[in-house]
Amino acid sequence: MKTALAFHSVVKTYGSTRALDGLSFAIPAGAICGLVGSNGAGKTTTLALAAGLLSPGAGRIEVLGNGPWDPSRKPGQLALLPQDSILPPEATVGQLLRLYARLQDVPPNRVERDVEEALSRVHLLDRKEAPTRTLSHGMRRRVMIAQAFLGNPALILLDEPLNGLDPREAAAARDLFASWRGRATLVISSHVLSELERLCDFIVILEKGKALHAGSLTQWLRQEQRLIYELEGASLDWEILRREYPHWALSLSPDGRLLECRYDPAQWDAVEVNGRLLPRLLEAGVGIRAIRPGETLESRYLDTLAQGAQAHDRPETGT
Amino acid sequence: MNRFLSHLAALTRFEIADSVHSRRAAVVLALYLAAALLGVNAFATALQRLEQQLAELLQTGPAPAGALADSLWKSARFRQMIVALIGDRETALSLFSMPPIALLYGFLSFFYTPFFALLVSTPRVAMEVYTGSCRFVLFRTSRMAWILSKFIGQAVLVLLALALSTAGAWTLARFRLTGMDAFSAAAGIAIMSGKAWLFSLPFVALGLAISQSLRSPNTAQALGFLAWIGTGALAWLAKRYAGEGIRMAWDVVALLVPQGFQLELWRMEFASFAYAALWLLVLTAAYLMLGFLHFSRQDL
Repeated sequence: MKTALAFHSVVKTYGSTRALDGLSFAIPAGAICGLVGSNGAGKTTTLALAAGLLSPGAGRIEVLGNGPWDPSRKPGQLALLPQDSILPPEATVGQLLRLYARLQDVPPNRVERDVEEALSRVHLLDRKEAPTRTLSHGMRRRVMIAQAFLGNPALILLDEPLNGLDPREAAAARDLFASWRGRATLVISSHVLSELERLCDFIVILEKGKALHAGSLTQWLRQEQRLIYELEGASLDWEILRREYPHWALSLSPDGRLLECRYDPAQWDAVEVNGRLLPRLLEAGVGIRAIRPGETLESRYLDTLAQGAQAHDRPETGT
Repeated sequence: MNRFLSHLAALTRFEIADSVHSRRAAVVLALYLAAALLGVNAFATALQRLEQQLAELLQTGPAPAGALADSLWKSARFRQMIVALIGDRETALSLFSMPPIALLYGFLSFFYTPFFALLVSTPRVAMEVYTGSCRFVLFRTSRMAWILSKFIGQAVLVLLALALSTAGAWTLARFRLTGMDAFSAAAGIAIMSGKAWLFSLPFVALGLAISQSLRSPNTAQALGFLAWIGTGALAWLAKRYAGEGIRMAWDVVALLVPQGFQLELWRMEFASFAYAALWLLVLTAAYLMLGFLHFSRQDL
């Protein structure tokens, strides 16, 4: 499997602050990867290092299998939507995107078409000749999104891309990101975990400059081996139910509102489990409000953080 | 290399267009034009008064403005004044082939061009680092191409400003000094303007070197002002204290600041001009690269 972006024991310090503390992970090519972490976990530093805007203090970075990013070596192959950056205020949207397209190695005869396509994707074609200072915050954010998808980049780094977008534009941006699945590797840093959960197939969890987890999102959320049922009016004898389905591990939350069914993904899939369990529940008069596969990204993330904190707090024992 | 040049061309076009859009260009052009017009106007007024006094003294009656300038130009007293302005007798004497209005324009432009060049170039890089707008560009192209585009863009801006001030100064002089030889004045002003542009290049580079080393555009601009005073002071000290023995170190100092080559620029012989031009270009490259040494490793 090809790797689009890999960090090997990368350290980055700002003065006495260690922003990245031996960070290691590898993101497979073609993935849509979510970069999740608390404030100050090192997400923005990670993306800026990947784009070559920062230099690591130690460790090794591999971008598209070619060492640290150097725009002169593989021009146009990487794009970035940086956080907390301002577009030149007096330039018009069209001028800016034309410049970025040229630098992104878009052939001169295709620049205008590509710029217009990029602006259409974020619904800003009518603002092409407007100076960026005349745009609202959300519109400027959409221009920033548009610039990241110019040309034909193989790796697109998006730092908090949905910040400041209204729900309609956020949904459109999500669709745009999803439409690039398979065409490029996307790394999206965001605090909106529900957005990432819908979009991503790979996840890197950062905390205090280290990766707590890096791997497939569905595996991490145990979505291929777990179904959660939100119940109402449960009046079933759960022990009987457990005996009826001995090959699955059924457990009920203490308040009786959540039923968790764990199964072996090698023998069962979610359709089969639902096909057997749902009629039995309905027959017993149990109301079903919702069914979801595995855990939510938010709950899994918070559990992981809590486990990390517990491990950190646990006193060391001698042997 | 082709890609580097194509990026450089695109970035330079954008730098110039952005200067125009942001009205930076308008401010620079207005500053240069105003400085040239005010200087030439003051000179024309002084010249007319002098001519009037001369006419009264010599009882020659009224004459067209500037008509007596030729006589004046040949007068020992006036030549002494020019020698004092330029600061070097040999150079001053070599200049009497130029119309006085061109020399005045040269004096003015050598004075204000470095200041304006530093004023506009010092915030250029620091501002984009401060706002983060450089982050949209610097993963797409090399830092060297970006910095060179800033330099070329600012150098072009100064050239346009000097061209405008040349036209403005000549037009005003033509209007105020009706007896002036229009063609030789135009040629003289244009020559001095070209030399002033060459003289401005190391200052643009120095401004960008300061800008590459700082994240605050305001601090960069303040340092640019100090650099203008500092380099001027160093050149003055070098000229005053250069001598034998350890004082030869001042000759080396004079080679490190653009003002150390001002006298060579005043001279009309090609050899002097070529020597100054070469050194000024070397200084330009050295200043720019000194700043780039820091910028190439700077976190953005």
